[in-house]
Amino acid sequence: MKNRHLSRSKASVLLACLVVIATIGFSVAAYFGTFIPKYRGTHQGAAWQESLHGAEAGADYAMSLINGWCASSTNPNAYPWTANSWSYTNALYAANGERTLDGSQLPILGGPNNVRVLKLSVDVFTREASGTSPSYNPWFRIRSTARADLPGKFVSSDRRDADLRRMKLGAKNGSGASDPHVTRTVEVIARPRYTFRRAIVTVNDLTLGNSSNWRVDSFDSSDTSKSAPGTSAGGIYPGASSPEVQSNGSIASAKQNPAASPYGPLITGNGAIVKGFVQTAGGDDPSTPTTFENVSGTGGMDTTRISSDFNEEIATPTAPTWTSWTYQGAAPGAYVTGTKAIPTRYAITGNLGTFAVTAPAAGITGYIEIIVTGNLDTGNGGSAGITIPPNVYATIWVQGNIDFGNGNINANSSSSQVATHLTVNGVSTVASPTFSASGNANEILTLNAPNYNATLSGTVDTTGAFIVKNFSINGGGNGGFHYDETLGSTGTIAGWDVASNFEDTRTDL
Amino acid sequence: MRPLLTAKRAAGFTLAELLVSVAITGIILGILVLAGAGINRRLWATEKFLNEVGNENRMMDSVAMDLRRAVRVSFLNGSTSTPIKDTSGTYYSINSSNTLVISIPDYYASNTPNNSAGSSYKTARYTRAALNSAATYNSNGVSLLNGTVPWSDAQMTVGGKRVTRFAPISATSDELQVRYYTGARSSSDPTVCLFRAEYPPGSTTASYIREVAEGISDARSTTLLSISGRNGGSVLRLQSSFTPVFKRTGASSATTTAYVDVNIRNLRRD
Repeated sequence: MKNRHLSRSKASVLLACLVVIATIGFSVAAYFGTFIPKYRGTHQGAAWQESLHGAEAGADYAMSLINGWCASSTNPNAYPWTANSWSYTNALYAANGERTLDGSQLPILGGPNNVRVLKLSVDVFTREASGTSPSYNPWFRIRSTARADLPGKFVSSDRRDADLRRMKLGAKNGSGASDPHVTRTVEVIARPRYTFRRAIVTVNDLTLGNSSNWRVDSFDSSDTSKSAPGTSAGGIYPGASSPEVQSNGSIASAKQNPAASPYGPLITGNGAIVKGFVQTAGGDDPSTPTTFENVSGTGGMDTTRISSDFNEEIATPTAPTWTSWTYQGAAPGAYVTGTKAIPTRYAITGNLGTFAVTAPAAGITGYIEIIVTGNLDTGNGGSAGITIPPNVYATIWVQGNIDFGNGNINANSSSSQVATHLTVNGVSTVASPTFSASGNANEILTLNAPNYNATLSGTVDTTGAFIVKNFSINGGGNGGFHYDETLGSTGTIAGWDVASNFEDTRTDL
Repeated sequence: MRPLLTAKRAAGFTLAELLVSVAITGIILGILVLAGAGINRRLWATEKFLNEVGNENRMMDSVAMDLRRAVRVSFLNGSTSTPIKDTSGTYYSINSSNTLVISIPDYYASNTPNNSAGSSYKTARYTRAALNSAATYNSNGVSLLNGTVPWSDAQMTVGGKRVTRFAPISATSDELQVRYYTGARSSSDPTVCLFRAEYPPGSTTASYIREVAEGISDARSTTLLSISGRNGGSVLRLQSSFTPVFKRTGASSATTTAYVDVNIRNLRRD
């Protein structure tokens, strides 16, 4: 009797334990069955985000390459693709066809999800074919696909995750092993960024004219609807009151405030009219969105076009090193031109004053390059200045100061009167080289002199674009600064910008 | 006699013993029932929490994906459209009467849904294969232009800057409109969902509607999705929030909120 009673007690305890264990087991199973797929969805979402980072890193890598190459090559059709492990997908289409980066060179981001770029390709999307003398410079199309590992081959608890993230849960690798992953693809169109994209860019101070009529505006010498009739080289500035005048005369300063007091004026507007964007590198307090601490004297500006996001490198030009030249010595009496491939080259030892380039025969476009080891000083008076005929393109490198006095710089009746025809590079490396013009000077050119202090006095009228260290105007009168919008799509490529960015979410992968 | 009496006592229970054992058993069962109900309630709350987190992530991921490639972003209330740029901290909530409208590039050869492999719906308008071989792109007087999109079809000027044109100049527009809004799944199913609808250029009829999240609003809680803008509309902030229901009374006192800041990659056209 006693033994039988003890056996029943043990059996009851065992049964109770089994019931409890079973209950806990079912609870745990339900927990894992219900919640683990939901947690998995979060993990899958994280991998999906990481694959986008990978794709964008691939596109950034390609952008970085072409931006680096443009510093050493002015011809975008001669970039060193092959030497950098890029090869054509189909060699039949070599001019504009697709190049892909060798697999061994593809960026790897790593991390727990093993993020890496799967494919990086570049082809030519379009070529710039506008105007009377199109550059045919390419717009590159960059496609980058990257992947990230998924935590497993199991689906999440919500089918909508699969609709959005397009995961490859059943994928296998080359050896047949399970390889669940997710990929994303971005496509970036890169367009050339030309040196002169704004009317005035300064490294430091930018002080505008303080007369009520002084203005910065724009026109387009290659568009008859945005310019007045000029020469065979193109149209001229139509006058401030003309309906053909445009509002893309932008200005920018790269100057920055001290870190201890980051907000305050970096451009002195003096109430001058600016028909364009006004950009500084910081200086605007984001907590006061309707006040623009970065610019003073904004009375003549459209405040909706003031920003503090200027962030571009300003490259300093250098004079070329010639192994041969047309002429070397003191400034000669006459200047002739060559072809685009073989321009005439004048190495002027000492200063250069007023001069005129002889026009080539009608129907021929001439090119001339001049290095001046001293100053470029055209003096004053009615005949002072520089004459560049309409069928001539001139490039000058000046190692000294530049003074245009009150002359006509590419602005008299024998000149092209178009800024693309005269480029002056200030290449002095001394502490504070100067650029100056005064009186009623009329200058039509592009000036690339990031080391120069530019000072205009009187009613100087400028057409073209300037890149200088400091820019200031004493007076201004009825003068002004007129940006030629043609400059924004021609000339030397200073870098590459993103024209568009699109994530391709439909294409079969 | 004594042994017999002892044996009987050992074989049964007194009333007091029975009452005590029944009471203890009742207490244990009560605890188990209460614990089970509590666990069940927590499991339900946890599942709801995870569902809402999943909805929140998916909603923000989907909208952010479209915002990154957007060229216009606005809020549509009735017939009033408001571009979302500098909103000074004001958030616009997406719901049945307020629609978020995002214009993205009209990039593909077709916008008529077709999931078959290689369909025009899933193919870019300007594939490399087409550029290489189609006569349209290979009949130029200047051979260097062969194999490229014609300049006039490939670009346009926005705000003084040249940007990509995604459809030929002859097309109505090069923008595809994506709209996000909430509503019942159908006339027979009142489950509140967030939808993403695609409207081809010039069309007032959606070509494709996708359910992004379901059950975003019920008697217990609502998952909100709202948007604000700054830096001239180049940066948009998505905010999603809901109220967890871990308390016995239903809602807890605080909502949980997630934020995503999105840099728009393209120049805005609005």
